[in-house]
Amino acid sequence: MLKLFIKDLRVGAIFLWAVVPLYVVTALQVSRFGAGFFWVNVTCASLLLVAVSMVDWKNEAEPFVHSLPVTRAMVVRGRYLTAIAVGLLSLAIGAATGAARGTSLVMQGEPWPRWMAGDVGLAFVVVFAFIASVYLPCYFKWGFGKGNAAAALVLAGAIIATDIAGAAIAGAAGAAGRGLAYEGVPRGQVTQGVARLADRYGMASAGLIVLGLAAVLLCVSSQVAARAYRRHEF
Amino acid sequence: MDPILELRGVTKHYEGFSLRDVSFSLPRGYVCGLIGPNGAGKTTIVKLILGLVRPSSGQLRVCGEDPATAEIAVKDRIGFVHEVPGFYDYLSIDSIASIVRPFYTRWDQPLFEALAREFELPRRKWFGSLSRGTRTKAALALALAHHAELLVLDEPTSGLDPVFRREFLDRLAAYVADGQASVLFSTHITGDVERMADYITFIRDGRLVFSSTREEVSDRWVVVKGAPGDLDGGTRQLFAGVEVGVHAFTGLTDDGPRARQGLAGRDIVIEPATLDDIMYYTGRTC
Repeated sequence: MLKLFIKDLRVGAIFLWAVVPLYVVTALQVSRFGAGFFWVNVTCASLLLVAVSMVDWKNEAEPFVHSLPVTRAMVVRGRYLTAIAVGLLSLAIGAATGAARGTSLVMQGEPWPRWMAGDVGLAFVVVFAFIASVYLPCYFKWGFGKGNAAAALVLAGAIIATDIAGAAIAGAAGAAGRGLAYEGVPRGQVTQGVARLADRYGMASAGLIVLGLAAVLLCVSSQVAARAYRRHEF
Repeated sequence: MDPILELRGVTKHYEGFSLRDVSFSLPRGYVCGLIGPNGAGKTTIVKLILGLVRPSSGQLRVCGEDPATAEIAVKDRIGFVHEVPGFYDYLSIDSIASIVRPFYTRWDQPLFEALAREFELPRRKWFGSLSRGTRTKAALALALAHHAELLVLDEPTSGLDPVFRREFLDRLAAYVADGQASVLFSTHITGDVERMADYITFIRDGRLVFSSTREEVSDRWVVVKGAPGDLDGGTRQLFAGVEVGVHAFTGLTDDGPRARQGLAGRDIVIEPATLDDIMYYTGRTC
């Protein structure tokens, strides 16, 4: 599994060099708007995850990978490890970019931005874990093309559903009238939810809850992906 | 003899194509040519051996083990060269080797470097920028460098020039010379098989036509030529395939004496069949 993870990192490195500068520039551009910054981070992390899968697809490398002494379950677990690494890398890039932007704002006499906080980082973990949990089983079940389309449909549905219905469910009445249709980014139900969690239980407990939730999501998802991939034929 | 590869009643169903009840074995230290027309099922057999597809029924044993239950151990002992070697185009041969190396328990870096020198591989160039022949050489070096006991080659020589094809086949012959390693290579280039295969397995329309030693094939299979008027419902049955022209018929059979007996008293010519003849005439009824 570790060997496959290292293989993913090595063959995906070229895309890291391409995506990361784009990531930083875009994040800085939208950093005046907190929700935009959050979603740029999520989108870039997702792009990195898709890029790693695209490398195998573009190079038609699956027969090569499966001719190595590995099982399909190992291939799946290796890719989940890569997803976790991509998530952590994105979190680090987001934190570094956000910290740089936050510092420059403070030096200009403005307050430290609300979007550069621990609970926003935890919200990123929840959202990215959800995206990876949807995307990877779709990829392993249907391959790169159909898998991407299926995952995009499910994720778009989830974003729209939480944007429309989320306010009512979460009781965030103050956010009414804003959101995807008005500002081009989702309303921020997850960030608000995690912020409330941190307020209620403290940041450390909220962190444990979020990490536990992300771990459960990824574990269940990896089981589904491994089951789907076991039947996959090349 | 200790078979390094054994298929027993292997069947694989796809929509529109089935590989049916294929059984053959390859003893250790020999080369088996897997021949058949395009779409016959050769690549399906290669994929079954590599575990890229699962058999619908039947049994496979590779290096004495069931690849379904001992996947890692089996793949550790197999080297694979695909018709169009698919690695990562933007990586160099050295980078690919360094990625592959940790997966194999018996990777031999000095051997890889010796092979790279022998094949004159440009180790720092992007894989995607290499010619077809150089890619195949690189894939062969990677396959040999972990002391594979079984080399599985899927159409490795198609599209290669004759000089390189000969070098490639000579390298394979050297590889099996110590009697420990075996080679299964699928091809529709029968000349390659006639040049170096010890065993020949012929697949057509998903069915095994025969799997025999090269000597048995050349001893048994013959082409019979005669006048079209000599063919009737009874004599047609003597042939595995027959083509009737205006002035002559050509029939293929693996039982020359029986054909001679069946056509006794008629003016016929019997010649040894080449593999091309066998592939061409098998199943023909026109």
